[in-house]
Amino acid sequence: MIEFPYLSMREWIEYLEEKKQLSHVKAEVDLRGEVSALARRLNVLGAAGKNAPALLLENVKGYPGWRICTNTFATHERISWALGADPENFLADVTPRLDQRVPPMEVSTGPCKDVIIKEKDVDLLKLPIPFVGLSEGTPSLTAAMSNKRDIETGWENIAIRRLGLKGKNVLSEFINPGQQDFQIWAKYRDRNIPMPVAYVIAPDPASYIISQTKQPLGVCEYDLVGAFTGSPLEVVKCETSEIRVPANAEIIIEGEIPPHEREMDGPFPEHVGYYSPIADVARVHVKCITMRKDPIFYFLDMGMPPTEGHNIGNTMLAMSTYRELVKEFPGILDCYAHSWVGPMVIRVKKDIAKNWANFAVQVAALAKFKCIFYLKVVIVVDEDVENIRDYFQVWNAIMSKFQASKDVTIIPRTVATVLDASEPWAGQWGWQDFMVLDCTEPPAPYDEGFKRGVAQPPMEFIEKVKRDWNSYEIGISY
Amino acid sequence: MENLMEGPDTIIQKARRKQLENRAWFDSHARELIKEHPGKPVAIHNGQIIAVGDNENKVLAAAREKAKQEKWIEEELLFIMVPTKEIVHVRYPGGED
Repeated sequence: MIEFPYLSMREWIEYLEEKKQLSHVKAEVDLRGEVSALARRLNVLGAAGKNAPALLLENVKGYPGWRICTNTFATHERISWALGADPENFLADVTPRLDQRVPPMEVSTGPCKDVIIKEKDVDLLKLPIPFVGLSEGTPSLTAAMSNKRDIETGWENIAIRRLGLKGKNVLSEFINPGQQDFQIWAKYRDRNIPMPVAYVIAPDPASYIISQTKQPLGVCEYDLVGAFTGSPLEVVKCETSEIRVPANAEIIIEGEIPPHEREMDGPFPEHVGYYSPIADVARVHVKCITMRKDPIFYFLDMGMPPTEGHNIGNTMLAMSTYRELVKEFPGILDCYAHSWVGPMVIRVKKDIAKNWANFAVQVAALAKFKCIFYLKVVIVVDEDVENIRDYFQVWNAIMSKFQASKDVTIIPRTVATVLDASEPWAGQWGWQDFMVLDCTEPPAPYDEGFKRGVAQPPMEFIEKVKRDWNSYEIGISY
Repeated sequence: MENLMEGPDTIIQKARRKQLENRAWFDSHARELIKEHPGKPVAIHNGQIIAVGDNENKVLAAAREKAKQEKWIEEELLFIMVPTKEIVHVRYPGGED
């Protein structure tokens, strides 16, 4: 029996197999959209609360011997397992670990060095890189965990980045000026020297997920991986730079980004649900690929939500936001981001919200202006919503506790992601309006309609039905 | 085969190399294409536009028909939307470019 922590992608796959959460697909799959269509269908089912297993695609058209894994993080339950957390009590369980640090342990070598391919032998076209959509223009590495190292401090920044395949040893990377790795890149650029970079495909599951948390400048996500798993992450030095990467990863792509070279990138199916414009972005010269002998490629579906990428990103952003909210306010119970980073739903204690002036707006403003600058919509609900991951319950709160003339707050022209399709992107910062919907119970005397209580079966029987569910032999899980 | 990165190209891999060559052709002609076919879907093969129009499905169907007639596989094809305006040049704060 495989147990947490899962030290590699293949241990994680084995665990999912034991939990009957993995399907092997033997049928041939086409890289021109079939892989993403399969992933998409399962993400839609997963978002609807249905069974949506992870996939191991074992027959990739034109790529004999390769396997592609996808959707292992497509459900809340599986993300919780990957971090050794209780799905029912996720935020309270994992948030304290965000303030702990367990630095990685450097080892001399690891499985990711089984095969080493350098310089002229590098050929990215030998990797089974899928297209996501019809108009993509070039296949994209959607699950590349970027590793960049600060030239002054040695700080390593880790985050999933998408890369366009542009040649046998050329990739394109949109280094977003709003992200931390831009700060690192700018230092190399200002010195007029190339920046070394490494991209990790299919590391251990905790590294993949933790790379998507929001950390202060100078904090290396690998220190958090150790804090989450309880043991230091084993890392090895790259072949061509001082950058360290997880030793148990499946594939490492090493390269460098020259200070002033550009590559035409996109259209890419962005997390905002639409294609990005074609843009001149950073060019990556790939110098080395290291991998296991029988590597497993990883594909994260991207584009219109719901996707696996959104599930990871939203969960981690909610976790980072929750950490900040509980430091500043009492009565914060839960936090979750739907779609792409929102609407973010924040669940708060009813009596605190009723007795604290504009509590919902204060909470939402902190989430936006301290935690996630591109947050567009926040919905604040109280305990009458049991599960904020359930859209239906959130809609109920809007219908039953919200009046548009007095419970909506709009702050116009706040900073946005440049990728927001509702604002034209001119290669610089976009703007967006920020909106808060206060769906908490109003204070007296406006709470008369709620005093008679929520109309539902008695709680003791709701709990009994949950507890005794299998004894009714209805034939589906609770 | 010592590892999965070795060995001769499969038919699909060869075709994907051609597709990338077509993408390189697009990149070097993008600014002209924006003037000639702004906002339109185009199909490019062997460094030539083989279909262009207003409707994605029709352009793709025309390109597929051509592939069938000329006996090449669809993986060689570049299908892409020509931008409506200029190529976006991401301006990085603090730098000359």
